[in-house]
Amino acid sequence: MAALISIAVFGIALLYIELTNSKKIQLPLAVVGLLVTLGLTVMQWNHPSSSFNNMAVTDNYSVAFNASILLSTMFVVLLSAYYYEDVKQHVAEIMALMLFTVFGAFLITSFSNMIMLFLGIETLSIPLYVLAGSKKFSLRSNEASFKYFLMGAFASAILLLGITLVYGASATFQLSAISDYVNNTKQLPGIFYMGIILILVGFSFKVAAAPFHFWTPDVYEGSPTLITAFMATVVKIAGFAAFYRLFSSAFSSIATFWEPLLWGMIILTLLISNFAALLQKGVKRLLAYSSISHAGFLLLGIIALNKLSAGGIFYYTLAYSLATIPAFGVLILVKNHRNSDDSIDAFNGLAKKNPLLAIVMSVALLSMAGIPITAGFFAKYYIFVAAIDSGYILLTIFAVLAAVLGVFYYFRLLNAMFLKEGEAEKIKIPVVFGISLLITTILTLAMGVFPDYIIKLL
Amino acid sequence: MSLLFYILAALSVLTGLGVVLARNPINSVLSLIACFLTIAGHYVLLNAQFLAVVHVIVYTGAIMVLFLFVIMLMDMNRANEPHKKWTTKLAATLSGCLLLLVLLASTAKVMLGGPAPVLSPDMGLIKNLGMVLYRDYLYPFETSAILFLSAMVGAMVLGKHEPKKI
Repeated sequence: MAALISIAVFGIALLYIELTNSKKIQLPLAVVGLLVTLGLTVMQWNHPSSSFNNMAVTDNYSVAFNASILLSTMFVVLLSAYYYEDVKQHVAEIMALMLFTVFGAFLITSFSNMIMLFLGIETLSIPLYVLAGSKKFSLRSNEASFKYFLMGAFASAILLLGITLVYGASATFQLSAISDYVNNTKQLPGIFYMGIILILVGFSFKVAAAPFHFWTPDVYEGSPTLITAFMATVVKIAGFAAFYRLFSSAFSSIATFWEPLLWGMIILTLLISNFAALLQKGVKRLLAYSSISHAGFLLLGIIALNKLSAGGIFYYTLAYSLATIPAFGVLILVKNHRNSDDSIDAFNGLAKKNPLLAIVMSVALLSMAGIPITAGFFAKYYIFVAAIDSGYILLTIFAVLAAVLGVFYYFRLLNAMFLKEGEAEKIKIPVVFGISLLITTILTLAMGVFPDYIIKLL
Repeated sequence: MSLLFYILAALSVLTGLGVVLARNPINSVLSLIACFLTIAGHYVLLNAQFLAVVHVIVYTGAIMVLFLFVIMLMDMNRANEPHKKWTTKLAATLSGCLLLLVLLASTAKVMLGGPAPVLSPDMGLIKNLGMVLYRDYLYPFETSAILFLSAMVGAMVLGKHEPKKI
């Protein structure tokens, strides 16, 4: 609870700091806020508690996911020092909105009541609609914001209808009570099943899984790159944390009903995203499709639904975030030096003049592809092990094939950086920016070498 | 009490008809406001004062004023009213009929099942509502503050006029 209050207070403080209009205070305040909240979060480790009539529970599961959300946000905020260097207006507000997004993420990682799930998802989404459109004079950014808002509002409505139907059947919002209801009722009414389907639809929209992924490429491409990095990491971590919490507690006893649906969604997601990514020319769009394919792999952890799932999902989301942030970071730098050209050709010959950037980008891409000694390898490994453990052999084989396909498009980018000739010039890396890139890269490698420390947490 | 109900109900129906039948959109909106006021009267009769007050403030006050503004800004005259396509009319008729079906079905269910049991006559009183809102559901109530705050900040960020390009 202290962490939740702290993030809200720092968000509001940032709004007041906007008055001074001095970036020298804004950025450090945001970082301090995130660090303080991280400290308060970690202090709750092994101290499970519940508050407000059992509406909010703090357990190791929520603490771990919250810490990983805070870390990702911090790296994104560090990148923002350079990204918003020339921007005069609204920088503090943008950071405050980021903190409010994190607030919403906290609500859904630790919910135990459907009301909190809905409130949290809304608090997570509404600041993001604004952030997606925060480049006000860019038509693409406006389009992204509007598209995200319309589609997101529909998805929220569908999710809410699902929650209502489940409430109509079980007469409770509390997860444990819903679980009891499922166990003690012989013949579940039709509206309960309909409710589960609608909740599943709402969630798959939020985490960008096919067939509800259509908004992702456009929104990811149109939004300011920094916000895309934020969206791709924080929303995915929080979304999957809530997804797994809901389906592993309230609906776990009727897994036979929703697992086939999820099965189909995983196949579709992996198929569509990987083939579409092969055809992309822009790096930002490629990363958007790669983010959809990661959602497909993560769904494997949910369908497995055994004791390895929580750890696997946690490890995967953390590894994915630590790879995504530097990838978008390098993209920001390259794009700025190439007059906002973000095609793969813009990366031609990057390694020759900017070996550091090329190495950072390579580690990130290798991690996303799942090549050993990066975190991505063990992320996929643990998810696959969890799925095989629950008997989804065929699905796992399919996912492995999809991962192999994924290697192709990541290597197209590596090929451009290392083997192709290009008129690359030396790109100056700002200090804070470089720190964020370096730490994420080192953490990615460290997680790949010592995976036990992370996977043992949950 | 019963007489009051019938007067209110008759007024609701009459003003409701006024909304649909009025030629001038302004008259239509004004009838809708009157209709909402009579519905607020129904709430008072049902001992739900809080709902009645909120209904007047939110619907009759805020939303209807917004409606009026939009209608005045759009300047809807008979002359420039676009001719609707027959598909639009068909869709409108279909959805209207569907709504009627749902309403009839639910009314029939209530009528056939006999009068609904009264849970508690003073359930809608402000005191009881406060107990639920500030004791049982304090957590969602407080956290929604951040939701509204971020929505307001977002509206400011997007809506503010910028002197030059950023």
